[in-house]
Amino acid sequence: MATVDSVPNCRLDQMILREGMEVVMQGVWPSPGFDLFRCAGLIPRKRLRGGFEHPTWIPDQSVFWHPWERMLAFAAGGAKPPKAAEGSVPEGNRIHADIVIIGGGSVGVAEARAAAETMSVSVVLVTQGTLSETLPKNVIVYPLHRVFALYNGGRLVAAAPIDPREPALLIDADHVVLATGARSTPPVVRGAALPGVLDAGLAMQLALDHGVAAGARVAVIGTSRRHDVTEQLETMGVHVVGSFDVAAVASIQGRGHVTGIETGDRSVPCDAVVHAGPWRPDPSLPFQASWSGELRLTAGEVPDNVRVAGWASEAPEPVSFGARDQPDAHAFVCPCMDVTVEEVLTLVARGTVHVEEIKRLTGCGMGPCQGVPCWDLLAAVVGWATGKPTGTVGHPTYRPPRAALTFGQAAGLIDATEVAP
Amino acid sequence: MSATESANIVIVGGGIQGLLLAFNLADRGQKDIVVLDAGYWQGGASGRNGTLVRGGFSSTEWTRFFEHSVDQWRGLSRRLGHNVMYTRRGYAIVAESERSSAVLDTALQTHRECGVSSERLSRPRMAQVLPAADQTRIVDMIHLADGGTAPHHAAMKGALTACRKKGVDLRYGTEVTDFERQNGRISAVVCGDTRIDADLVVIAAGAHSADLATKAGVVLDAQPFRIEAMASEPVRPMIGPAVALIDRLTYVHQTARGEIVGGSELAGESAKRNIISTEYVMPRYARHMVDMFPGIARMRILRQWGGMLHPAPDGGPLLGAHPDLESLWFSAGWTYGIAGAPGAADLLAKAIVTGEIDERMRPFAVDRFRRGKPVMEASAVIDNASVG
Ligand SMILES: Cc1cc2nc3c(=O)[nH]c(=O)nc-3n(C[C@H](O)[C@H](O)[C@H](O)COP(=O)(O)OP(=O)(O)OC[C@H]3O[C@@H](n4cnc5c(N)ncnc54)[C@H](O)[C@@H]3O)c2cc1C
Repeated sequence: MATVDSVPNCRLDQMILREGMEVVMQGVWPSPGFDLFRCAGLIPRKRLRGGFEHPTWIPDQSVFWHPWERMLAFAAGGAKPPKAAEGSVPEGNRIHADIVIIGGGSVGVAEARAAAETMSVSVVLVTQGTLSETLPKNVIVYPLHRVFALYNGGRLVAAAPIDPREPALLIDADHVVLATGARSTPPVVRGAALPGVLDAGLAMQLALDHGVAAGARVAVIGTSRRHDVTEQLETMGVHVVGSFDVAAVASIQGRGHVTGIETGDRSVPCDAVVHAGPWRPDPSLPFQASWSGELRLTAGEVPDNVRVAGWASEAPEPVSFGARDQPDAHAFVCPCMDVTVEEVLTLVARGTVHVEEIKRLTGCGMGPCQGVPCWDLLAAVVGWATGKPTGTVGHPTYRPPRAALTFGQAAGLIDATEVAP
Repeated sequence: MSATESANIVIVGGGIQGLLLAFNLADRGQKDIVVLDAGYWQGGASGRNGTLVRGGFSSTEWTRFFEHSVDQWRGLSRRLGHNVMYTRRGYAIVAESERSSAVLDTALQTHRECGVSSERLSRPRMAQVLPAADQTRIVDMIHLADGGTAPHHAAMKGALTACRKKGVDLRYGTEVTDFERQNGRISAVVCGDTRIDADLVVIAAGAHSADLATKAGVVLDAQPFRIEAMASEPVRPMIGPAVALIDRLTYVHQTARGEIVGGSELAGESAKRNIISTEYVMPRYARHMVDMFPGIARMRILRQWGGMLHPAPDGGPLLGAHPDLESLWFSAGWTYGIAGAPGAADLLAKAIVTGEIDERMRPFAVDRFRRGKPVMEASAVIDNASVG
């Protein structure tokens, strides 16, 4: 994470570098070379239980409480708040479409072509990336936009451009097609949160868009669907040292960075691991299209006006515990919030089995990714520990907008929205 | 009924109100207390709020009551034997109009009468207390030194742990479906096919309290009201105290994690029963924030969520025994139910155990509306027009 041109919390692995960009590293203090925060790694795991603030250490009546809280806030914040800037409230847009297709992969493109055959319907395609092929003229494409919510039973699609200076977008949609694909979920094994471990989507994007290999020696791990990824990476010139079944991986090795994987009875040296499966669709948008409740939000059937297509509609592959038949206590469930398998198992052993309660006790999924993919890992671990099928464990609420838009972009949507009486 | 149990006191609702009341009752020596909750722990408003705590309002009734609660907050970690992380970081009430400044006049007067430590800030002090704010918009500001925040995950954990230690029987995932009455008093609570005979029942079921009152055969003047809140991505400290922007019906603070958490109530929106989030609250809250804290325009919003309040016609809590049914008590009607929780629990427990109604609680009696005695309060971040 870094502050780029005074905008905090930018993921450097997801940014295109421009000349003249001012980049300040975050999460290091006082400087990247001499980083005192690294000493935090020396604190024994057991003492880190109980959520980010670790309130078991210092009582709030103690004279140390206020300085501690202040120090914590400084460390947690990571970045300086931005300064005010001109033009940071871009006026939002609201349009109507008969069909909105979300996702610009092969399935989304095919859906758009099919829909556009009927000349009288208006078709909009929104995609996070860019399209390599041209679509019929009656398809309006919004590239480099993230759909961050489906409101109003899926009849209102909310999207924001990756560039925070551009306006956010609301689309009233008669029909929505979710062609959002599936993403690879990291295995619950030791070392899976090390720098140098990345998901297949990101590795491909790095290679394809920026000509950057994930590492000098890349190990691919995954399910039977990993072979495509391996082949494509190789075609793009990435040096792949091997492709391994994730079910045989015992751990990912390294301290501070990946140095190898332990698989079967051997150790394979590498400096990057790309996971390509288990593949699971992002559950957020279908969830939001049908959520309801007064005590807890739960999803119903996806409404008729929303259709899930392609990979997104396929059953998720089960989360992998690697070569073990039980989750490794030292593996992370949620690296951003320091939640390990052990912490979750301890709670379950004490009778706390509700995922919403575990989320609130550990902070699991409260970081920048807002539960994707770690709530899948959480459900798998809780399911294993309680003997329940993972599908019945449930998950906490998938809340928008998951950092897709700024306060400025949100404020720009006032005139595009009305307060419901 | 397939099973009958019995208890001394049954509390319906295991939010901050129900839990702290159970703790206080147990602390006063009551035995055999059962707390029943339909949802999961922290599933109600007590797990989805702004966590702001203040004692100073503009009416003497609210101020005396909430100031007592702030006192209780300050000693709560010690009493519960668990860190509730109450932080006395101060509370700034900001006025952006002459009309609101006049409300602050009254508030200051009230604070002086009630012995609340509050300070009207000079221009340089305003800039010191809220350096990130657009100073040109601020007309007037009061700073309450004892106010602050009580993060709900820590407060609820403290309350839960302390109740367990005292032997309170806590049952989440247990919905109260009905009540039984006998000879003009409530006699039992029904959960599906289980009946629990009880000497006394307290309804502290948040936004569902009026529904439950109806089931018990009495009327409670309050209704569920959905509001929404939002959290930003984390940044280094930008907003020091808890803040109420009273002209904007907006409240906000920055957590120890660095997230800026707050929400706006929308004037004119009517009561809604659900906890989904919508497309129209976020832009309005964002606009208020960008106006007052311009730097925030370039920060990202991490998540938005909804929760339900349970406002009575005057926005104040409904506390005490119901005059129409013996042994039925309420802690309901909450809009400031975090700020007020330890105080309400203390005073209600005292009333239940000793029969003595504290003067600070009396104005908030359940039947005040039919007696024509609402409590008017102007400095709260609630839209009395839509509430009433
Ligand atoms: C977004 C938001 C921001 C807020 N900000 C603040 C703030 O900054 N400061 C402040 O002081 N207050 C704030 N509040 C208000 C505060 O959260 C509430 O007033 C307070 O939590 C009420 O506590 P409670 O225990 O009465 O209700 P709840 O926490 O709602 O608990 C009620 C419980 O009753 C249970 N229940 C319901 N029906 C039944 C049934 N039939 N049987 C059994 N159990 C049942 C529910 O499951 C629930 O757990 C905010 C609220 C929201 C939604």
